[in-house]
Amino acid sequence: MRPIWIISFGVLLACEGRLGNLLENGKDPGQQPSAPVGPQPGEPWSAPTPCKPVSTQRVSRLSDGHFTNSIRDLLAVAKPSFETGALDSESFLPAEASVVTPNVALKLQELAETVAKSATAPGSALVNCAGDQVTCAKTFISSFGARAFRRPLTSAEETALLKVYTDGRDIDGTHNGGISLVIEAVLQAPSMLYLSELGTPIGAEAFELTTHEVASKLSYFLRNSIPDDALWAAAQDGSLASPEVLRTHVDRLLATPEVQKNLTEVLSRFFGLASLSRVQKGPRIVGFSPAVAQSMYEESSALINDVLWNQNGTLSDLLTSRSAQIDARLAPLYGLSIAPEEGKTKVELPAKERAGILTRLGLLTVKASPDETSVVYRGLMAGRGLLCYDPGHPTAMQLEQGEVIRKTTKTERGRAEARAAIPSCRGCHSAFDPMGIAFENYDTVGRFRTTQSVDGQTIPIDPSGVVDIGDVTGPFASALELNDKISRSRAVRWCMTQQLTSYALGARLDEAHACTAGDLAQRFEQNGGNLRVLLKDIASWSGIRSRTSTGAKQP
Amino acid sequence: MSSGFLSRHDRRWFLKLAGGSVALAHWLQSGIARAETGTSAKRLVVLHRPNGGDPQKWIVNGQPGPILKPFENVWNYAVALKGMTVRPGNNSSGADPHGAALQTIMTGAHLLNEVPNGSDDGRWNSVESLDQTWSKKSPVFNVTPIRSLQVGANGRMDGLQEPQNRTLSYGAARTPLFPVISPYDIQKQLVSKVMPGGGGVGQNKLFDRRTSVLSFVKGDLARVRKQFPGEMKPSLDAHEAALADLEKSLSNGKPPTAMCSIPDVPANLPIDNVGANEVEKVGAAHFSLLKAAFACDLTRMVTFMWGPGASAGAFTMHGVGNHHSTSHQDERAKLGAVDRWFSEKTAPFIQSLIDAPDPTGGKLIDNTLVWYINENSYGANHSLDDMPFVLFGGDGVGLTSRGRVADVSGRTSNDVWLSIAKRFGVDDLTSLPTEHKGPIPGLIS
Repeated sequence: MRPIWIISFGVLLACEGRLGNLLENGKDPGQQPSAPVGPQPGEPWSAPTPCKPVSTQRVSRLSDGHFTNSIRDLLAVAKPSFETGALDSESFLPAEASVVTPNVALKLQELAETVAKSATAPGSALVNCAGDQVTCAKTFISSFGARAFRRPLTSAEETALLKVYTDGRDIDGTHNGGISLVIEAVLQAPSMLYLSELGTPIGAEAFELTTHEVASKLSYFLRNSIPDDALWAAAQDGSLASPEVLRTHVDRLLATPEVQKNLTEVLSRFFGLASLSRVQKGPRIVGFSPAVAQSMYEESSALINDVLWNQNGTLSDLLTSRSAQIDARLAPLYGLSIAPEEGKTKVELPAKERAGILTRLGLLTVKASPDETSVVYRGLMAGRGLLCYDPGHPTAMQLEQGEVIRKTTKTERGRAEARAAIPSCRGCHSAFDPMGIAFENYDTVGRFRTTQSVDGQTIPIDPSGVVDIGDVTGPFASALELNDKISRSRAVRWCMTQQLTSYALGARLDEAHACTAGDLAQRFEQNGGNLRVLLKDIASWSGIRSRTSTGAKQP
Repeated sequence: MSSGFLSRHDRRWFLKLAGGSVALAHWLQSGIARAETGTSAKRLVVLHRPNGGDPQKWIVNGQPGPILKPFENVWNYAVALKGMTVRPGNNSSGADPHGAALQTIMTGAHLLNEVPNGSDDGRWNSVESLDQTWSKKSPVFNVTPIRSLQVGANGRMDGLQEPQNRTLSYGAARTPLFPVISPYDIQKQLVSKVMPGGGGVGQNKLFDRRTSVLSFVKGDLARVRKQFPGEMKPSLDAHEAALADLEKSLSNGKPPTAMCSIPDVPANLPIDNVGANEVEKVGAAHFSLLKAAFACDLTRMVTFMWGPGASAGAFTMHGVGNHHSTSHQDERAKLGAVDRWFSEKTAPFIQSLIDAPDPTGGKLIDNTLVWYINENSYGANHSLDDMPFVLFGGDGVGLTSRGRVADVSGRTSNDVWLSIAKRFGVDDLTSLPTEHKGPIPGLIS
């Protein structure tokens, strides 16, 4: 796990780095330092063609968040509370949901009973019935059941649910009792709980998702919930099979506030900002509190939102913008002054100190140790997150050596230099330590500084270095210069394509995926790194709709 | 109304006694059989605390050191292991050592070369964990209403919330069974086994409604089984077992012949708080429920986590704001103090097993084995050598030579499983994929 390494400043005796999860998944980690990731300078972008669809037929249980959002939208009730241990709310790639254990089944039962009771309270539109109650029940079952299962019901399912209705009606003696029981049954049904991407055959071992499956895939990617009415209608009438219609819906959805909010949160999770609420700093660190952490989150989220949706901006914009909305809590940390009564105020951050999300308080605070900065954290922030470089985890002996360096060397730059002097450390650390050094001008809560105190002495900070990874390679004098390299890097755009495609698919990309996603990366390059267009391209991508067989069916 | 698979005559009844606790005249079918034959239930608890400690204060000159001091009143039921290692197998190179150690201890198997979502350098497990295998296959375990329980007092890691660190139990490869942090949820699960939906008009209606819903849900599960890929089988098997468990809650039908009670626990315990005081409260509530579950013979297999591997626990009284973060530093005094804290908070659970009568005679501890583990030896280097493990238990589980430190140098965690297997009705555990030597002589009689 990453923090181990970062906190301990591990020394790698034999680097076992991997080229992200994206390039070498399925292979044993190598014993040699990894080569830089992404296309090298001068290399063509295009992947081998034609690429076959490589996502396999898949079934996964809805995450707790997806499940509760779906209930909210299905029944127009408040989002219920439901947590089964997967803790998916902070993870960028959706964490696998817990299997249905006896305890989870019990919680599902309780949740379904509570929600059904609330949704069918007297006066609820769900239980209004002017005519024959059984006819009303059939209508409800047909529509509610299909939306919950995200596909049309079979006649056998309709019959089974009608029996549930008559059971409930007979037990309680009311129509409400019957509808309520149908809701209970549907919310606990595997067809509701599991999201399937099985498709229909279109050739040897090739499958194309049904329009209903495409609608669900798209909707959980963009909305974090079930398809809305328009998308559902397009799935129902089959028009969603048309790529043009699908793109129309993607455009429509990307313009909705709920989708924009969701994707802003997705990118916030990508940068690790969701964990700001749990960040702890040491008692000697002034200027930090939970309220400040919240302001930091809001400021960085606002930046993402602004670039994505207001500016129709590029990845480069996200990495270079100095425009910020800050409040009185953050102003002093940025060296500015804002009165509390002014609320959130739009400012331009100091040009010589800040450029883009990597230099904002939120990210710098998350990527630091409680009492001091962290070259490794911040180096990996760029190396692992933006360049898809994964060095693996150091061994026990390497960790011990890292701790020796930590105890005997006072500055983070000094520690990085100590690692660079050991050949076996240099292999991996040389790829990302220099990038971490660049951010030494920012303390553990992101305040800009040019000096630091060491054993009572004030010493200047040198943030310069030479980076040797991908097309970011070369010298830099400061974080802003490094930032400039990163913001212009094709390798970074390639990596961001891979990262967001992984999110859309809900799984890490393997080598074959990287092939099929190559056209996305190429388009991202051609459109100048426009993030909104990238998201649209991913949502409209053929790889979202295609699957290959996984082999055996359930016995 | 026709329930389809249950009749009203099957409904279990219950008693609710005064005093705030749900009490039950409860004796399950297995318990009756056990009482009639005079055999004792045997129970296994794997009890984990995180982030290593200070090996220098664990065992000193062959004797229990300061970290073990809080166990002195229960030491007559303890065997501390000295020199045991954990040896992760394939695909552990470069992997998160917290998760790799937990997975190796619990499965004895190699890892997959797959990184779970939510992790950056963890690996997925390759097989079901041994607690799950045993609880399914061994007649010692598979006779109770709840086949196994997964419980935790703190679920929060430092940094990413990685699946491989947050569970001891796996239903299959890539299938974590995360511990339930809320004692209230565990209490509801236990109570559902001793006061199923019968009793009074309202309860009759509830029973009928749940029966109807379960019938539909089971049918739906059977339908999707035919369509889903084979890789879903373990998850769907687990789901089916969970539904069967719910069904049992409706249908436990044997009349009570003995008394046991499930204690009340507050619904608002601090279940998402890493502070030591809060974690202590949650842990203590779980322990009271586990003791009751054993006394009622509701389950015989438990995995318990004081916190996940790389836990973010805050022990501010010892100057530790983030346990995992501190564990990486050479802060022996702090790490030893935190590990001693876990000893202090675990000892009352062992004592409660010593004090509580076993329904078949003797005390609960006599027929219970608690394997007290950690996923690291010393956090600063993530060492997996000389692991700080203790076995607590009594004669009934074969822990007969107690109150000592056993030198098990050169042995791996797999050898603990191999040593205890026969006592727990597992005869075919002759080999495990990762390093092992076999049963440890003199450990389990």
